[in-house]
Amino acid sequence: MKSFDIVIIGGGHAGVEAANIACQFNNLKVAILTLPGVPLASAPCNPAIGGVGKGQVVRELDHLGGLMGKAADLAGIQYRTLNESKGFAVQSTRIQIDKEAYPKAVGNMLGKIKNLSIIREKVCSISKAETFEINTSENRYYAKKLILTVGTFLKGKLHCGQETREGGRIDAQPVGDLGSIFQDVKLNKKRFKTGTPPRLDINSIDVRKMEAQPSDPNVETMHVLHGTSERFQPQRSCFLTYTNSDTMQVIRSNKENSPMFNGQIEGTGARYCPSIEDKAYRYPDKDIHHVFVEPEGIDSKTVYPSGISSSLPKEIQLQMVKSIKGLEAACILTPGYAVEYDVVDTTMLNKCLALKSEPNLYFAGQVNGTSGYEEAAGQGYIAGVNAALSLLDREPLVLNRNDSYIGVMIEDLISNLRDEPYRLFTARSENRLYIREDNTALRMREYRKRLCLDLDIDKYLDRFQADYMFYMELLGRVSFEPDSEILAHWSITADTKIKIFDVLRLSQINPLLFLEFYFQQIQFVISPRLLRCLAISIKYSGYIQKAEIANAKVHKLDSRSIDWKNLVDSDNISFECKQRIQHIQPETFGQLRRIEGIRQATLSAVAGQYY
Amino acid sequence: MNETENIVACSSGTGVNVAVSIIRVSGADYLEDLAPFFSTNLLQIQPRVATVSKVLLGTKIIDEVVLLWFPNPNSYNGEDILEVHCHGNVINVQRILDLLCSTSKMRLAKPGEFTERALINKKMNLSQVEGLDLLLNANNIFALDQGLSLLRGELRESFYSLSKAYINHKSALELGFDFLDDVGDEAFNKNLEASFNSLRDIIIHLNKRVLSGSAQLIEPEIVLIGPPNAGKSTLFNLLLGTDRAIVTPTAGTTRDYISEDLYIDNYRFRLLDTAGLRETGDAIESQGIERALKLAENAFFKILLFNPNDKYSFKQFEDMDFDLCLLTHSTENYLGGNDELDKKLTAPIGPLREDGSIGPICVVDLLDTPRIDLIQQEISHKYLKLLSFDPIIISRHIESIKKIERTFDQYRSIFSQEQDLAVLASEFSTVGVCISELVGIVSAEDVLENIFNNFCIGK
Repeated sequence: MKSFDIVIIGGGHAGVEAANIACQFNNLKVAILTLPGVPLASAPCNPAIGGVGKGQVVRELDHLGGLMGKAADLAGIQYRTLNESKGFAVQSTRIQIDKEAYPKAVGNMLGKIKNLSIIREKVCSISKAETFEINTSENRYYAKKLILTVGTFLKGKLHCGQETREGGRIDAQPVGDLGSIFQDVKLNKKRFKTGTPPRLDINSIDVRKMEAQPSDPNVETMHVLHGTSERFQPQRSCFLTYTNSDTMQVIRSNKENSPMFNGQIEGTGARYCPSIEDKAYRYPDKDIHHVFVEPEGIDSKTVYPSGISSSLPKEIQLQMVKSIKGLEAACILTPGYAVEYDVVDTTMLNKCLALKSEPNLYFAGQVNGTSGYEEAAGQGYIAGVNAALSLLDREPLVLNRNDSYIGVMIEDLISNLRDEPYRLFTARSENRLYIREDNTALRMREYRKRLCLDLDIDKYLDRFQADYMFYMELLGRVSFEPDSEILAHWSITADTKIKIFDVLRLSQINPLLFLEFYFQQIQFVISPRLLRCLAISIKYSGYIQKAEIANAKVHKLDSRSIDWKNLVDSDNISFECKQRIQHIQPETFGQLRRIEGIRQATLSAVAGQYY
Repeated sequence: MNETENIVACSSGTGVNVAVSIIRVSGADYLEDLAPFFSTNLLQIQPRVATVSKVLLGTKIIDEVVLLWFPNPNSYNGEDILEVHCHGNVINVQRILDLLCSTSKMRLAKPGEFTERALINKKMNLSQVEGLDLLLNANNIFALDQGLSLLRGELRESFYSLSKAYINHKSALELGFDFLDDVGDEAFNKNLEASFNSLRDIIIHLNKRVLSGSAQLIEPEIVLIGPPNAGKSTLFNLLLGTDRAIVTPTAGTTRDYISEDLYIDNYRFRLLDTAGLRETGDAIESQGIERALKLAENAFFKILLFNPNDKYSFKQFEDMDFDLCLLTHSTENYLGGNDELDKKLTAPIGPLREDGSIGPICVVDLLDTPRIDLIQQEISHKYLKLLSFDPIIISRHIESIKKIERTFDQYRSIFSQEQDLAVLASEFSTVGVCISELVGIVSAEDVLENIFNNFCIGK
């Protein structure tokens, strides 16, 4: 019999972040319980970390003392900046990872943590008396706090053509449903569905027929304590090819064989991540779709053809793959498949991701109906840190949606029931110009400070903040007198002196290049990360201010706390709205506003009361 | 206060004796309480069927009425509504109201309370309520029409198209951030441009409807302006068909403006006669002149009158536009010689229907042949033309649309130049804040929904 402060069930991206941050509070005893044979933080789908909106989450986690950024660097085989031409605020880092190296890196980091036990046993039953009692196939454990990060394993069911079997992943054993473990945890009425493409033999494809996308050496590493452009793995290219009318013809003529369209799969997939069948049937006029061919590792035998996730029978998958340029002789090593699984009703969770009716029980990751490793990791961190803070009798850590994508995600999750998997988009943030990758240190420092920990990351954040303040003040004060050559080169018109701050805000100026140039002129050496943050912060300062003023009214009202119990008692609100309010129990006007189906009249009535 | 309070009011107006008055009761579960007051069995009353009943005060019959029963949710405001059509004597109505209110669960309704409940129960939306207000308080056919149009939701439809165009353009911007890989640069640019154009067109059109629908349309003013003794008061009386204004041969008789209602083709106008414009040392008169100029500035229809035989200074009229210019008195003696006037009269003399700086001109000798019908024609022509623009006259809508136009104009100025899509999107969100004041809040989910439904997204 062993007792822990916190037990985390599931060793995926959510589980390992939860464990890692909880363990930073040295006095706590933490354990991860995970299925034997499944590596920690493995990447069963896309071999990549980051992406639009998600890159910001990875950096937020990194600055908060998380694992993901560090591991992504250690396993990174291709770096890219997405949205490079669309403006600094929406640029995101995406790293292609080696599928073997990533779990290994995470395993190494967790292995060094003294107050963490990693137990590879299958959980059979959980009960709650004074503490949680967890029975595995071999042992019994006790925990004061329990975090469930069970991914797609809740009543998971795999589909590949007509073949179906129980399980959350093709290479792991199944587990039971939550219902048998917990009586009072409500599940989302809808089962969710996700899918993955077939994996191809790297030696059977011809990349010369595809467009190469090489790794960009200028992209900054995710982990701030790594060298800015340091690389830990040899770099590889990804390749771009396209589907064609033959590809689509194969799929369209096999509709009756598709589990998604013949009624075999009932779960709802995400519209932003459609299978190739979805694309074929929903857009009958479109035959050309991107296929990104991504290596799954340095020595890996497999490639991941992103864009053709499928649950068609194996032989049809092969026929479809072979119709694509460069894949004519492709061999499928593992077929694509779809998985259906149960997710919990996240509106029953509070801002710490604990169950409102049982605050010692937390849920994080895909079990909450999200998609993506990054979203899972972000939730794992929030659940882990708050479980720890609660045990230490300290204030919870809640990230604000105005200054973090993690905050956006958590609030979105708990204030609405989803009917498809949730993914972060930059569109979900109201404050996109401010929630950027470059200023993550400034945004996360306050939160990290509240933890009262003193690790290397904390020292880095303090230093970054101090440097930022120093240079910001300097750039706002100093002017320079450019000669005609400089003026012409940067296409600036000026009679005499110009403030650096003002030059950086000119629309024709690339603030990064100009600030770099200026520091060279005055012979200052400044870190690339700080330079980037300064340049972009100044560039956007005017716009951010303007947007803040425009949104101030909305924001002010949004942050007002409301008494939902009062609303439910009120006779001015329709029955239907009351039911929704009672279900979600919103604490602020903003949360109330984001509940689906709340009537305008209700909002007006409430706004009237609180203005 | 958990139960719905039951309310009662006389909906057909009080204070005047009329043939029939309608008393309305709204709320829930009140039939049993009211049953003792009626001779018919209220608990078995048929919905939407006229039922004759006696009203009882104890055993005494105090009126004979027709009852109409509208059970929820199929009633005007979504609650249970009982209509009592009674004899419309003021005292009788009051006695029945007192009787109904004598039960503890009934009270008199506050002004607008029936409709407020309709709003809360989603039987009406805000613009429909605004329409109802306009309808009930309309004092001309136009306001009546717009009130009805709002009530039927037509105006809301056109706001809905604004909302849709807004979501489309916002989606087009968002495509560039989160889904560029999926749609490609070319489709992205094409979409951005197209959605921008259709939003721009809708805003321009709405703005036109606002501009043509100045407050003047609700209470359109016709102002008579000109030098003293030109015949303004004479025309004023002629138009009204009465001798309302005092007419004398002495210049400066009218020292301040006077006004009267004037109906032309069932449209109601306010006709204003103003003090004659001249240099004067008289303090009261000069104040009157100042007011006259101000009135003219904001008026819906401006008529300039002058006697061509008199020598005037036309400085005050130089920068003013007129809808109609009337030469009073005979033109026979007019040989020109007044440069300013000559300039204004280069257009052929006669009734014109074109928009010009001086407006249509017609020559009328008010004393000999008063062509009043011609003047009336001009006024109603202009009014009808404005109405054909479908003007928007509710001040909340006007303000919102003007604000939308202003912010959109700023956005438009950077749209084609700004390379940074994030900045563009941020600037556009300020337009969004203004639009949401008119059409309700558009959430991120609405935008994503639109994207997923219209584009093939996802790798």
